[in-house]
Amino acid sequence: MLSSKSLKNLQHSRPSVQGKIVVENLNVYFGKHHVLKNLSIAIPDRQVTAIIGPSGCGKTTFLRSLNRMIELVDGAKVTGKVFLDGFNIYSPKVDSSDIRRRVGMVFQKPNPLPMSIYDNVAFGPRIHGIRNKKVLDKLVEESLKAAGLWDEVKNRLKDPAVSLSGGQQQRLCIARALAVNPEVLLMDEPTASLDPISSAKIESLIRELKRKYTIIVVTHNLQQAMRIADYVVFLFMGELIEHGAADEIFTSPRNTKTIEYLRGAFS
Amino acid sequence: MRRAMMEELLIRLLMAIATVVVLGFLLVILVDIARRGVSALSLSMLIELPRNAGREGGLLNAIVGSLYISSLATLFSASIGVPAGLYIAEFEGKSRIARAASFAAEVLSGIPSIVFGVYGFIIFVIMLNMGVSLLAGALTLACLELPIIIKVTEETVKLVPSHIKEAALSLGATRWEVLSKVTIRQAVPGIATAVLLAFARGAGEAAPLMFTSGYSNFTPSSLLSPAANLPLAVYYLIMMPFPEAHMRAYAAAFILTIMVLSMNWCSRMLFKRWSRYVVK
Repeated sequence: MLSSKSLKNLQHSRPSVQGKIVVENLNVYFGKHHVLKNLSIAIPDRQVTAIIGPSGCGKTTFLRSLNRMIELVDGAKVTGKVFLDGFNIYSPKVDSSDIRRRVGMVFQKPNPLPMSIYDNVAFGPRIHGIRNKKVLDKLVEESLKAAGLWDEVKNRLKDPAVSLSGGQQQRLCIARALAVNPEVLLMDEPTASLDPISSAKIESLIRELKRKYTIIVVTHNLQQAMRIADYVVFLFMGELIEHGAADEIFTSPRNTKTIEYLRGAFS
Repeated sequence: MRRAMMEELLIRLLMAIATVVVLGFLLVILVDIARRGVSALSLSMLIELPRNAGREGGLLNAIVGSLYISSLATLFSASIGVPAGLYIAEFEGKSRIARAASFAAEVLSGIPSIVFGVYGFIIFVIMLNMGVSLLAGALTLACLELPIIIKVTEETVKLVPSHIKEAALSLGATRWEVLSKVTIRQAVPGIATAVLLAFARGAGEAAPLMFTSGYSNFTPSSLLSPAANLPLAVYYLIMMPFPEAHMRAYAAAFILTIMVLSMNWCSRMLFKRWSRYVVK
């Protein structure tokens, strides 16, 4: 429980703008290297936000600072605030494990756990204390259905997760992330290692999932961003260059850097 | 293009020769032991105690002794070595103790087995007052097996890909949950191999047991009674001036070899089974 004093502090440090996630003056350093430079931005609730920008601009670092996965990198230092529903996830009272339950993550390469399909999905609920077999069964089924994988695996739930194809593995990873009932889903180039058909499935899944979840997708693929994004964030050399509704950014970008990037001058 | 093909052919030839040499040695040893020992090999060899200073009867004392000593030794060394290997693999970057332990295990694995025998005698038999016994022998052998288990465990755990750990962490798992529920599952086939490898190594050792578990013509009645073992049975029988004892030595060697080989085979089967879920 939060003491009244710390609650007051948290209230006091509430963000000034609205959004599911509000980032204020976020800086990330890896040793002496200044990777993210003073980012401030609000991410809209239950929409798909695409983070675009050239390689090495800090897209993944930004994504990983939204669920504190960045803290696992040796020598990483974070300053500034990231508010999730108004509470700063970097405040010392906050448990990173709780944040990661509420802010799920899907990685660039499908990364199933070394266990069965069922156990992969049940892993999260189990570590958060759900032991009841019936509850777990239901959660696993719902999550696999939400990820559009249920029909393909319902008769082989005990099979190793690694026996699935790459695209199926990625949907399994999405199901696994959904099973802990998160509010936000972070996706780091989720289709980068998949074939076009599997990618298309993931994309339509993303459009489906935004009804329930706030989704933030890092993508290298501008066409993909145009297809799925409602909101776009453009990063360049660790700085936030431009952000706004997808229509605006793609049709009438204001910053010259954005214009050049969208035109394909660099990637 | 031609050159590349020649190189390919040459390398293949070299690999084939190397394989044949290895297999050939194994075959020669097996066939020779079997040929010399087979006339002495009988059921009574497996189920009777020795009579007439080992010239008659069986090798039950050595078979049972070997199984007891190696199993106990592996139990001791695995219960220390597996956690130690895990600890070193997880904390080598951050903990000085882990680095020291890793270094110690490396040095330990280079020490000749007879030296283990001498120090096992001094520490377990004399200082800890265990006498020449099954327990002293098993503990000495455990010290010899320990570095194998530590090193192999450490190497397997280090090979667990970081993206698997990240997957668990991103679901809110603590570091302990990642280690106990994910890393171990990925590493289990490797750890099992480490344990069986250590068992096989221990089962073939004579030098560490000569002064520690001694030798006896009976099966051990307690942890503190002396116990025979197969490698020493081979040694003592071959030193006897009777041809029939030599045949029995080969029979003992044959039994030992079959024991170790079947252990190896079991470990391969287990490895296959447990590898089903492992992420490649």
